[in-house]
Amino acid sequence: MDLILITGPPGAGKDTVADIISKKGWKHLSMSHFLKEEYRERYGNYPTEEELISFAKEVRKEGRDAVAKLLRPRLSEKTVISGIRSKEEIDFFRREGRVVVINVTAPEEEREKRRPGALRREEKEKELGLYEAMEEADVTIENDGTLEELKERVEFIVDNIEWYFLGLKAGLEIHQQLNTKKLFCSCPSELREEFSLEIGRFLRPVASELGEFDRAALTEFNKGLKYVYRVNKDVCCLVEMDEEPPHPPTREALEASIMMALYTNSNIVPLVQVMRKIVIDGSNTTGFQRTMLIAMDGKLKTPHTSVKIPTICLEEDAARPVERDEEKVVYMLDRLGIPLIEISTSPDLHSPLEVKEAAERIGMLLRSTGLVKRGLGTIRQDINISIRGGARVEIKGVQNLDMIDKYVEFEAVRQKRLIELIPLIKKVKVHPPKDITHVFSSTKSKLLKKALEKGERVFGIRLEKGRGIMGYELGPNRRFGSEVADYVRVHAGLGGILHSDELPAYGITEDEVRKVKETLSCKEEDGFILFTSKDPSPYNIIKERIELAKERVPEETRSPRPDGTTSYARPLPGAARMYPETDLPPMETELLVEEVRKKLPPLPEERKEKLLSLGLKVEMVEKLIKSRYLFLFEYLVERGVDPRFASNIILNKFPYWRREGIDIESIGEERWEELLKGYEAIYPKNAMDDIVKLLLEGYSLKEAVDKLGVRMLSEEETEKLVKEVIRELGPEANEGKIIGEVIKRSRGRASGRVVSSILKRLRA
Amino acid sequence: MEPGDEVEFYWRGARKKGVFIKEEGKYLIFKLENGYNVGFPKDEIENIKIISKRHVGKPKFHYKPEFREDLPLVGLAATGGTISARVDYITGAVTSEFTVEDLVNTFPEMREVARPKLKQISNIFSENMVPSLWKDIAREIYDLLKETEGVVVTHGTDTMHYTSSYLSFAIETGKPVVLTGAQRSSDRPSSDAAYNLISSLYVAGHSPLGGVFVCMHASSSDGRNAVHLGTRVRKMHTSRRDTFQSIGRDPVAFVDLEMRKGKIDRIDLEVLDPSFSRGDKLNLRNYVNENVGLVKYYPGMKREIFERFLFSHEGVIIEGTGFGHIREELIPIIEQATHSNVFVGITSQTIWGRTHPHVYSTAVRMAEAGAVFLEDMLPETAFAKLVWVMGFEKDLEKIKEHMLTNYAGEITERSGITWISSL
Repeated sequence: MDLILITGPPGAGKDTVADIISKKGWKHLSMSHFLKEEYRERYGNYPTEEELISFAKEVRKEGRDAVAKLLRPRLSEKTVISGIRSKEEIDFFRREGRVVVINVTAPEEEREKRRPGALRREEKEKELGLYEAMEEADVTIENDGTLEELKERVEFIVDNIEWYFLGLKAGLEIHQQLNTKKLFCSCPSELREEFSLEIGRFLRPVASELGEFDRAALTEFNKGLKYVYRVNKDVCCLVEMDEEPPHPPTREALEASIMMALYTNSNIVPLVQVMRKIVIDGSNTTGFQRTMLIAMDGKLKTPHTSVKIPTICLEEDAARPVERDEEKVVYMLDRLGIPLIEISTSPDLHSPLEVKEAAERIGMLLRSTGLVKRGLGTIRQDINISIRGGARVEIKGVQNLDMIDKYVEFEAVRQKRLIELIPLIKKVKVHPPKDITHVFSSTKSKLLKKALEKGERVFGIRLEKGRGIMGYELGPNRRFGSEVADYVRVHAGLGGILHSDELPAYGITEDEVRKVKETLSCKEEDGFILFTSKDPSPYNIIKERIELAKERVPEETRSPRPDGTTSYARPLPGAARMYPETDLPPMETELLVEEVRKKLPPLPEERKEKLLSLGLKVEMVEKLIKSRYLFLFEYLVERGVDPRFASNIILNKFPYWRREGIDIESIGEERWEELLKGYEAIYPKNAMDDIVKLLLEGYSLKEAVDKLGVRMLSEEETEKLVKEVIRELGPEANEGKIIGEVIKRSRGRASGRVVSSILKRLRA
Repeated sequence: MEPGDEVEFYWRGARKKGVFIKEEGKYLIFKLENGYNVGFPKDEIENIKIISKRHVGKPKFHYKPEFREDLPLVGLAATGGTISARVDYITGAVTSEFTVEDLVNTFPEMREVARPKLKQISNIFSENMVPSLWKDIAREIYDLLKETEGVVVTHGTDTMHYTSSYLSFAIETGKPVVLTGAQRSSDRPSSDAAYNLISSLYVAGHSPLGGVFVCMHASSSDGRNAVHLGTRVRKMHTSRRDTFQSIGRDPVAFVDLEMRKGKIDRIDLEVLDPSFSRGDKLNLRNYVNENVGLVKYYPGMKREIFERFLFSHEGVIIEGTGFGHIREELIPIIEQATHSNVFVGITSQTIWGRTHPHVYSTAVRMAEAGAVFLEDMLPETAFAKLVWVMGFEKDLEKIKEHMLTNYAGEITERSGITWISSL
C-alpha cells in the first residue's frame, strides 16, 4: 500500500496539493473532512471550527493516532491523506505501507491572507503535535509561487515517487576553479608539467588549544611520509612554497564569490576572516588550507525544486599529487593556491534528476560570473547521499556532470540492497583464517603464482552459512564481495580478495575450489574468501567489514568509477579543525558588495532580448538559454561567427559529439572559434567530425586538417580543377553538373560557391 | 558575554550558533558551528543568548623531564621569538608565550640527541632585544657552559645575528654556543623549528666545534641545516627558512637530519672549517656600552642629523656606500667628532666585500679625519663589537686596536670568493 501524507500549518495549501495528487490517480482522504463526517454521524450536524477542534482533541484522547485508526478501512492501494497533525499518525501509517510525508508551508502573511484565522488556528494545532509531524516530513514544499509552479512541483514528486519512498536525500558540494590570479599571491592560475626546483618537507601534527592531537593528523604523521614539491617558477612563488606570508585575497576571486552570493540571494558575511583548515597530507605546504566563508543562507531554484545554499566559501586549491611510494609523496606545486568557489546545498534533493538539475544550475550560475575556468578537472562535485535506514555517504570528486544522476541512483540502490542484506548476512559466521598455500602448490593461476613468488601465503576464511553472500549484487558489476575487496585494499593494502561465489575463475580450477572447501571444512551452504599476504592480519579487516554489514550501512567517503558506480575510499572525515589565518586581517565586504552589485553579469534567462536581436528564432533562443554552452555561443558570436551557424552547431552537433564521448569543454573556446571560422574555408563540411576528434587529442586546427589531408583547395587550385572538368565534359556542360563533378573529384575539398563564381567568370 | 562563551543568536532572520571570539570595531566576531570565524555588525544581531560559558583553557602540556642518561647534557636557553610563538585561539593574535618546557613537549625527538638543561631567560620577540639583555644572556650561557657540553639559545630571528656577534665577543668558549630560531612558529604543521632545534642540540652536544654559531635551514627544504659563524652571519630575507646566510665565508658546518614518525632516522655533521674546534677555554668578558650607535649613510643625508647622531653617542658605526664612503661635505663632522673623543668606525652597506680607505680620495680624507675602516666586518657585527669594546675601553687608539683585532672570525684575513649561494 502506497501512502502520501500531507502535513503543514493552516492556510499553506495542503488540500490544493492533495487535489493535484488525486488527479494523478490517487484516492484523496482529508483528515478534517473525515472528522467533520464523523461528527455529523455522532451528533447529527456539521461542527463549527471550535467544535471541530475540541472534537478532534476528544477523539485523540484515545491516542494521538486514533483518527488515523478510524481512517484505516478507507485506505486503498494509492492514497493521499491531507491534514496529518501528529507524529503518531505518521508512525501509524508507516506500519500500513510505503509512506512519503510532504510538509506544505508558506509565509505567515500569505497563509493568513489565504485563510483568515490561520495563525490563531496554528496555535491550537500545535497542541495536537503539528510541529512534530512537520519535523517528520521527507520533503518540504514552500508554496510561495504561482499555482502553476506548485502543480509542476507536486506532479514531479508523484512521477518520481519511488525515490521519495526510498527516503532519498542528497546534497551537493561543488568546487569550481576560478580563472583569476591565485587567491593569495599574484601567480597565474595555470598548470605546468615542467619544473626547475624540488624541495622536500615534513609536516607535524600540532596540538589543539586543549593540548590534544587530531587523530587524522596523527594517522598521516605516522605514515612517516616526506613531501616533495616540484616548483615551476613561472606559476609558483614563495607564497606557494610557504616561504612568504599570504598576500591579501585576490579581488576578482572575491568578486566572483560575491556574484554567486547575489545570484543565490545569500546573506553576505559583513566581516570575512580567512581561516586555516588543518590538512596534513602534504597537499598544502603550510599543513593547512586557507578558506573563508563568504555567504550564508541562500536559495537556489531549479526546474523541479528549490534547495537551500547554506554556505558559499572561497578557498585555495591544493597541490597536485603526481607520484607516491612508501617513503614520499611528490606534488606539483602549480595547482596550489588557485581560487576555488565552494557551493554547498542542503540535503533537500530527493531524486537523481533533482541532483543533476541542481548541479547544472549551479554550474550555469558559476559560468555566468564570467570568471571561472573551463574544461576537465576545473569543476569537482561532491555528492552527499542517504536513504531512509541507510547512512550519509559522500561521493567525492565527480567530474562528469552527465553522470551525476547515475551516481545518485546507483548509490541509493546500493544502500537499499545493503539494508536488505542485513537479515541475510546476520546468520553468517566468519571463521579464523587458515594457511592453505599447499592447495595451490602447483596452481596454474597467474594471479596466485605471482603472489607466491613474492613470498606471500594463501589464506582461506570459511564463511559459515555464507553461500551467495559475497556474490550478493549491490549494483551493476558490484557485489558485496567488491565492498570487502575495496575495504582490504584501503585498510590492508591488499590487491583484493577472491571468493566462493566467483570461483572457479582467474585460472583457479574446479578441483582447487573443491580442495579449498575440503581444507576449510566448508559445507554446502557455506562460502569462503581467499586472500594472499605475508601474514594473516588482513583477516581482521575482512571480518570487520562483514560484521559491520550485519549492523548497518556504514557512513563513508566513496570514489566515483567511470560507469556510475563507486568504490570505498575512506571513512568520513570528522569536523574540520579551523583556526584564524593570523597573517591576514578580517575584511569588510560592504563596499565590495555594492560595487559587484552594480556590475553583476545577467543570468542566461535575462539575456533573451539580446539573443533575439541576433536574428535567432524564439525556439532556438529558449534552447540556448538552457544550454550549458550559452557562454561559448556568446564568445563565438562576439568574435564574428555567424549566430545562426554557431547556434546550429551548439544545439545540433554538440549533443551528437557528446554521445561520441567528446568533451566539448576541454577543446577550449579559441579552438572552437578557429573550427567554426574554418568551416568550408579551410576544411570541407564532411571533415568536421574527424577534425573535432583530433582537436580533442590536442591537435591544432591546421595540424588536424593536414593530418587528415582535407585542406580546402585554394582558388587557383579550384580553377585548375574546374578547367580540367570543363575540358573533359565539354564547354556545353551545364553548371550543376560541372560543380558536382569538381566537388566529387576534390573529395569535397572544393567549395560549391567558389566553383560557381569561377565558372561565371570563365564564361563571362 | 565573554570570549569563549557558546552563544545562539539571529542574523538576518537565520538562527546562528557559535562561540563568541571578540569585539572588533562595530563588529562582533564569532566562530560558527561550521568552524568559520565571521563578524556581524552589532546592530544586526538579535536575541543573543549564552548557552554555556567559556570552556577553553590553556594547552595542558605536562612537562615530563625524562631523559636518557647516556646522552650529553646540553643547555637549552629560551629568549623568545617565533620559535616560541603561538596563536591565541580565541583572539587569533600571535603571542610569544611558549615556554622552554613547551618546546621540549612539542619536539620530543630532541630527547634522542641530548639531555637538555632548561633555562628561560626571557620571552620576547627579538626586535625588542637590547644590549643590556645581551649581557644577561651572556651571563646565563656562561653559567650553563660550566656544567654542560654546549648550549643552544632559542632567539627571534630579526636580531639573532646581533646577539650572536655580541656573544662571540663576550664569551670566549671552547664549547659550542648555538643560536637558533624559526621562520614559521612552532604551532604550525610546517614549522622549521623541529629541524633547527634538533640540529642545534646535536651541534651543541656532539660536534667537535667550539665558538658561537647560528644554526638554521640551509635551503628551503627540511633536512639540511647550515652552521654559520656567529660573527659572519646575517638575516638576508624577511620570510624564507634559509634567511641566514654566511657572508664572505662558507658556513662552518652542515647538519643532515631525517626524522619520521617522531623518531630520528639519521643525523650527521659535516664540518667544513675545523679551525673553530672544541676546547676547554671558558671566559666571560661581559661588557656593554649602551651609548653606541649604528647609522646608514644615504644620498642627501642632512648635516644636522649626521652631526646630532655622531655627537649623541660615544661611538658610532657608519654604514657607508661602496668602500665605505659618505658625502665629502660631512667629513669635517667626523673630524670634529673624533677630536671630541667619539669613535667612528666605517663599514659598507653593500654587506658583501671589504672597506678600503685608499682607493678614492673621499676615503683617504675620511681616514685622515679619524674614521677607522673596519675591513670586511659586517655592520651589525661591528656595532655589537663596539658595544662590547667600549664597555671596557675609553681610549680611542686602544678602541681602534681592539676593533681591528680579530677576536672571533669577524674579520676575514683572506677575501674568499664565496658569493650569494642558494638564494
